[in-house]
Amino acid sequence: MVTSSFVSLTSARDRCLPVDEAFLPLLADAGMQRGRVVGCTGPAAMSLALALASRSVVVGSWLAVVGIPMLGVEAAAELGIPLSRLVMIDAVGGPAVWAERVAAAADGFDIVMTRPPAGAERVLRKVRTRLRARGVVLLAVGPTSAGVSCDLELATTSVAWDGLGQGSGYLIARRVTVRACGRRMPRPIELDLWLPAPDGRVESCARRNSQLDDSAGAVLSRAG
Amino acid sequence: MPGATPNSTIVLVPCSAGLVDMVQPPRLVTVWCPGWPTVAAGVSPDQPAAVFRSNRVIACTPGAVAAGVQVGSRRRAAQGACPQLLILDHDRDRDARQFEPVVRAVAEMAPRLEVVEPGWLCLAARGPSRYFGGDQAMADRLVGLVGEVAGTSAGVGVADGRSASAIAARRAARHPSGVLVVPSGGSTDFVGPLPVAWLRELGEITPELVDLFVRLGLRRLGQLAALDAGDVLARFGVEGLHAHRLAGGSDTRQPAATDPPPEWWIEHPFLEAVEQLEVIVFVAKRLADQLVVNLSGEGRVCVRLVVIIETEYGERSERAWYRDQGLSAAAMVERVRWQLEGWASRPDGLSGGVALIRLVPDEIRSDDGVQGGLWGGRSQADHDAARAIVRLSGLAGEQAVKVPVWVGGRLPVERYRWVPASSVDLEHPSDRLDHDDGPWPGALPAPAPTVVPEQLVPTMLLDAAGEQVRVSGRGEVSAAPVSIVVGSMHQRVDAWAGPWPIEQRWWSSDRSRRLARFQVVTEHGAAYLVGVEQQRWSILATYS
Repeated sequence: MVTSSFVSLTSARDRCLPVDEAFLPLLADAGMQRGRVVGCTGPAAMSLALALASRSVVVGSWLAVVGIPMLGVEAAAELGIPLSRLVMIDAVGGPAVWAERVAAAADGFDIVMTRPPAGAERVLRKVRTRLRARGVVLLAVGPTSAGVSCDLELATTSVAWDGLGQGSGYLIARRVTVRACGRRMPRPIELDLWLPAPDGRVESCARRNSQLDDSAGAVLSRAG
Repeated sequence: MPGATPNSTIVLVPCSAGLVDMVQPPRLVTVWCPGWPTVAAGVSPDQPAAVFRSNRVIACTPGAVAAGVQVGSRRRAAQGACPQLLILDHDRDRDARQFEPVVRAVAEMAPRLEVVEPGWLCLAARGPSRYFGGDQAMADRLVGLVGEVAGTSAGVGVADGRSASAIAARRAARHPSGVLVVPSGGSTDFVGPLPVAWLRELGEITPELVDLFVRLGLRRLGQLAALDAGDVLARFGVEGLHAHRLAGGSDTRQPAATDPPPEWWIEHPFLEAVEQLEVIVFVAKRLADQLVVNLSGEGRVCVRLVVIIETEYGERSERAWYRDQGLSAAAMVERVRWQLEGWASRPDGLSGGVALIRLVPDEIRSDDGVQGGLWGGRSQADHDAARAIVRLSGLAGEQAVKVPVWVGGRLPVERYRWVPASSVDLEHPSDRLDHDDGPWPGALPAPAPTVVPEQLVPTMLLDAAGEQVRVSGRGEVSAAPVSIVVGSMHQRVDAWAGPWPIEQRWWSSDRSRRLARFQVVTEHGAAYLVGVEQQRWSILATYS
């Protein structure tokens, strides 16, 4: 009883973990709602999940990565995650072990990023209760599907890389279309993002283009 | 007495020079083994060798010094100065284990000693000095003893106060006799004319503050000591005051340091003797956490910890550990581990299981927040995470809970390494993560790949004719790649670049690598970093 009245009294901001401004159009709230499962899928799923987590980790939350041993640490650092608050937890041995580790991680970390194994849905109920009770966001990452049912699913649909030619250049930036759909969304929202932009940040394509137009306009007016 | 009025220590007294003089600094002996990590690694002093951490030299042999290698220089610079330099990885546990025989030998001469860090110990001069007939005689004896046990020349310094004796020991190490005795009451005159850079050498003051002193014209320790303590505190804060105290050659023991009442002791008797190291360390971790909670509840931090371990047959190992910044729970556990490993590795060491472990905070002082974060101290999130890490380590095993450590390298898989979270100090992440932001020649520019498999994933890059693309020894590509095999699927290559060749460790027959890297973007927008090594293609990383 006490907890439920407490929850209703806390502001929406306190019930959310902060995210980068670029993601706000995709989310109904001021951030990622605590206690929810957020799925990240598609060809840019890992970058998306890391970029979503980075703002919270910067302001003091800890990030646990469960069962993704091949996580690129340097990419996490480039997307803004302070590595001093990043912990990796192995979860080899099937869905039961995975659920146990995720539940234990939920006791101490604000964000848990994981790749659910096959059959994770069956053991998710116990995990979900823990997530809600502790106000933890679970980021489920998967190349084609998140592997578990999500409150919010962010799918990276189309991906275009900049910088690479036919035998020349190198990867510089990537434009990604992110499609958000979920239980609390009447219809899916689509957003074009730079993930990452040439300067390494995450930005909305529309915003960057308008900035480019402004600067181009300024150059033109000066020339005129 | 100290327990009677615990709050009295919190009162800040702006200590003038007269007040400092009233406290008589104890006469201390410091034994210092130069370049201990290299000695522990078993390298002979004449051989040029250096121990590296985060790509910087932290210790080197006299042979390497003669060749121009300096502590603090980068690996590249060190190898430039001395191409035949033997490169060793830093291993604190090895350092501590190898130092154990030295500690034991010295403990037979003078039982009340404390280990500041492996290669550096400190003991009170009064008793042993009288017994062996004066400071000089005792120091000569110590040099001989340590040289015999450790097989390296050590420096022994005797002076009033911890900092003066530590400096004396370091200067003695450069002297052929290995002994430097500063006469009683002469510490101030001894320390005064030395440059302020010594503060950095002692590892207690940050390089930035020392640089600031130099820029402000305080080049000698004496000049710094001549300032009024109140002014120093106002201008440079707590750390500046500490530097001022060190520069005066007076005791670095904090004024608020007290001998704690016996109820601070914390111990765990095992009902059945335990032989597994992990179990004992796990219990020690719990004790240390409890001790730190007890102390921090009173706003105190432990700077000198005595670890007592007893076996079922009544054997006993007692050792004092000192750390000026205060010992965190992780640091305490690390020291318990060192002591146990050192004891167990001796032929006359443990004969049975451990029956009792006791942690005694021998010296505590008020916590002035040296380790304060952005908002001053640790947040609730840090506490929760530290607890969860301990719990997960118990649940899944220490090897399963890991944190990243910067290593550096040209390939994505080489740049960071995972180490067990229980083996590092989570409150001081700079040891494992700090590195220069400068370019790493031969590495690919940002963005970095997000999926970096530890093992190579075999693949194939095919040209228009369906033949495997080949790269010649001169870095020429046989034909432009048009498809890549991922798993069992053929995917069209939309854009590609390369080859970027790497040739690593050509001088070593078993560790040498020669490969060419390519970046490839497929029709679905997936980007891969692929490499070809001896005409075999593999996916090195994925940009997911």
